[in-house]
Amino acid sequence: MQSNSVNCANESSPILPNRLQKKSNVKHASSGDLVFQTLLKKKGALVGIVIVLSLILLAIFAPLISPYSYTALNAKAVFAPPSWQHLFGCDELGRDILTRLMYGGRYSISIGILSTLVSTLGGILLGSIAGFFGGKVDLILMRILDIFQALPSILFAILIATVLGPGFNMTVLALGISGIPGIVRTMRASILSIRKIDFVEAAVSINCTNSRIIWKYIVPNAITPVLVSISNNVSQAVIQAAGLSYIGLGIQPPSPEWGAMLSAGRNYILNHPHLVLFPGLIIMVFVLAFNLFSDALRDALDPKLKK
Amino acid sequence: MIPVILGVTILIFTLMFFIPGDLAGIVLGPTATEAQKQAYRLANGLNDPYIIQLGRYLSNVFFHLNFGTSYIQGTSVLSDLLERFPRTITIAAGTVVVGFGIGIPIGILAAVKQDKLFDRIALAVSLIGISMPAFWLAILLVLLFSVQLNWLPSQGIGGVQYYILPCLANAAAGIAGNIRLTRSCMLEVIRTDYVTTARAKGISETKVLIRHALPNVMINIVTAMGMLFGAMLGGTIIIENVYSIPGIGAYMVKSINSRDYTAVEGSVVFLAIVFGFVMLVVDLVYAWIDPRIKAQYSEFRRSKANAK
Amino acid sequence: MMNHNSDTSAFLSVRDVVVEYTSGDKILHAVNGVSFDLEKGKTLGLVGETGAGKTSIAKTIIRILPDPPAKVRSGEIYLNGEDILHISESAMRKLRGKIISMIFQDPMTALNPVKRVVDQIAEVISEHCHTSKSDARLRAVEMLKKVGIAEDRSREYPHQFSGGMKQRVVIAMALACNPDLLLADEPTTALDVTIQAQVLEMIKELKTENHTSMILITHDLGIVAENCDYVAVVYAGQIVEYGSLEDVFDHPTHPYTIGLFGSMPDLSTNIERLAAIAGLPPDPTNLPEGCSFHPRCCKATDACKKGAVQMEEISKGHFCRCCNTKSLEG
Repeated sequence: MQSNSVNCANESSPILPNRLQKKSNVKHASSGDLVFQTLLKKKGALVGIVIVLSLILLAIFAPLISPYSYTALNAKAVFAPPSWQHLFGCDELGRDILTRLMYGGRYSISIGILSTLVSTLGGILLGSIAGFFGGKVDLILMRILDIFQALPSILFAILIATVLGPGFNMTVLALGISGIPGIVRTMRASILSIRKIDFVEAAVSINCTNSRIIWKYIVPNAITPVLVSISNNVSQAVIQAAGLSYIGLGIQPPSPEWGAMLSAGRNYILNHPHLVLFPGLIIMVFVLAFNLFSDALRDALDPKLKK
Repeated sequence: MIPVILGVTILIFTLMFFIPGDLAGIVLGPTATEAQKQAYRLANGLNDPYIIQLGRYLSNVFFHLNFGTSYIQGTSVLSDLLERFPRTITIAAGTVVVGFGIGIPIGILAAVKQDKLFDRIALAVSLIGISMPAFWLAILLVLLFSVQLNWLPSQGIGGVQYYILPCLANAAAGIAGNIRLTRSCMLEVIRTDYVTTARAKGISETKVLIRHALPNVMINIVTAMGMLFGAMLGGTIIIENVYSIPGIGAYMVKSINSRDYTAVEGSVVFLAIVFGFVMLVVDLVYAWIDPRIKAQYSEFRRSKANAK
Repeated sequence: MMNHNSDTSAFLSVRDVVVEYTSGDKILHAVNGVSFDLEKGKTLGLVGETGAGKTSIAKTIIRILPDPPAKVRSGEIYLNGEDILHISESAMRKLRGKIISMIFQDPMTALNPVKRVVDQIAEVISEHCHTSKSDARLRAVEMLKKVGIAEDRSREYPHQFSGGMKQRVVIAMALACNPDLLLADEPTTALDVTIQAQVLEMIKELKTENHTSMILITHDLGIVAENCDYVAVVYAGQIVEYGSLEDVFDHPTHPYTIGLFGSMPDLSTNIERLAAIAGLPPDPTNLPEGCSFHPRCCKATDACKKGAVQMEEISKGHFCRCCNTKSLEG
């Protein structure tokens, strides 16, 4: 084989680095913005975010917006069904349910967020330790994790709540601690798989310092599956908090936490179902919106994670 | 499995050990004198150090099958639990059957008909299913089927009809979770090279799905099924409260509220052991259906036999 | 052997096939008007970079394109005179595995991990040859022996085989029913060089035995030289040069083809840098106007930027898709 006389396509060039760049999965600071933009384009995420933010705002500004005070008893309006004065009706003490739901958002939503914060911090810390150090540390941590996960998480939460007692802080702690094992596993698995990927070896081979490798390469890529776990945890925490309140742990009446309202209203469902209908509905709406958001988040992050 | 169960029991005991409050005071009531309380404490070894109490509890539970005595009723906790166990396990089993029996086929169909109407509806329904608190759904079902339609009883136990609503309510989240899990797993498997190879062999689409895709999907979701069962078991606790079903969940909640901590401890340990057994079965099933793992075992046995 | 008229008498005649993939709101132009013929018993090499559309062409012939994203926009494919692009799915299924077979690139993932190797081969035999299960299994074992896998290994699972052996199983599966056409998509790319030679040798033997036609997709010009009778160079979903092995290797005409040959390092001379073709392949969602190669071609003129470029026959059986072939010749 001999090449023809006219050979103009080739040029002498070093082994082109831009091909490497084209296929690299390394997250730079700007790809966070990319994810954000992708997310905003998805309808599901938008609807979810809007609803979640609206509920949060309603909760925050409850004192300003709510039609009544949440402790205002109105003997004449006991069990009042939904009407224009009381959009969601009144409960067994004549308190306006809509108002109580708005204030209740402060409890329920913040339990969801704060407990997830606890789980996340604990989970990322322990998961990172297990993932980075490997070896014996990893082995011991995994055995301990197996033990913790031998209890279904709601059971674990109930156990801790029993020990700590009811109340806002204790519930946050109980749900937070019971959520740690899940996040540890995700974080650890994520770090282990990242460590194996070639670009880490490549970074090592060009003499990158360890801390640079950790912060610029491993952590940004390891965090992404954890983000999906985190947003799932918030939804689960809100539901579990409601469940705990329902069985007598968690938050108790007269606090207007959504689950506590359900619990208080269950004796009256035969004749006054609206006491139970609306708190459950708002839990569902919040969790649904949040799930929409986390589904969209997972889809937005996923193509970058595909092996 | 045994070390894990041991570990869980130790964990539960340790957590319960730190409950504030004086057990003697709770049991004997507010009218008891300090001397009576002290006598009670001595009789039950409550003044001993943690390690000794731990050892005693472990040996009681595992060697003597003694979970302690419920101070409310004076009965053995174990006998209480065993009496209630069949009801809880019926609900849990029913939930599993409904949750997997409905969830998996729908998930598979949704994946096969991706982005078509069936898929969109399935996704929407499953999203709602995992967003609903199960106990709220339980209440709504009671409102509809018991109060309005009067088809099904709203509480208690008896024949099959008493278990229908609890299982349905508990299974909703399970069905939804299964649909999503199976669908996403199926979508992955459908895109694999070996499924494409099977199609390139001229095999009909149905046979490709059943013979090639399905076995691989099942292998991948078996472990997740175990975790879902755990969530369902936890959910049973709350559902029993809604439907006043005298199972372990109701027993546990009652004990928590009456501060009968021995009973609470016993219930949690019991449930943890049950869950541990289920996970063991799941692991065995997984090893049995995945030929890669089965091959490892048979190679292991063969090499042992050769070594002899 | 290329005809753009309606002479479809060759064993396989591909005519103006256009395939698009939709991804979100973008359209990927994967195959942009591909035509070629293939005679019985001959091997055609499809050469080109990754992403040029070679695999899409093969998958279109056997019609296993993933249907949600991929759509065949137009074209015909005649096999023994029948347009197989437009027959029903059930009719096509009868051809797959029996008349047309395909081998894929990655042996590690091409086999079902939970089925025994012999069963996977027996499946294709019993599907098409209507034999009993035990007969199918016997024939499968025979086929495995032919590709060098001993009988006592036939009941094992894919994970117990090495990459090269897995690929041999794949080949056994593809050739079990003696197909007339074999589509081999980079069958040795994922294998060691020594195993590559073995596998290609084996394919050649089996192919000669049964007078099977083959389309061999590869980006390795060395493999083309050893195995192919005809060569089609693919770029951005089109064939830019087509001819017999000697024609294309001895007289490469299209600037891209010349670039490909030029980038192969010569063992006899010392060079300091590898010679690469400047630029990158075009984005299939946004192909350049006119000739797809013109942004990278140093001989590009204004004429290259306007309008589609047709294939021109520069010598008997040797075609090139370039505006400037006349000026390049000689």
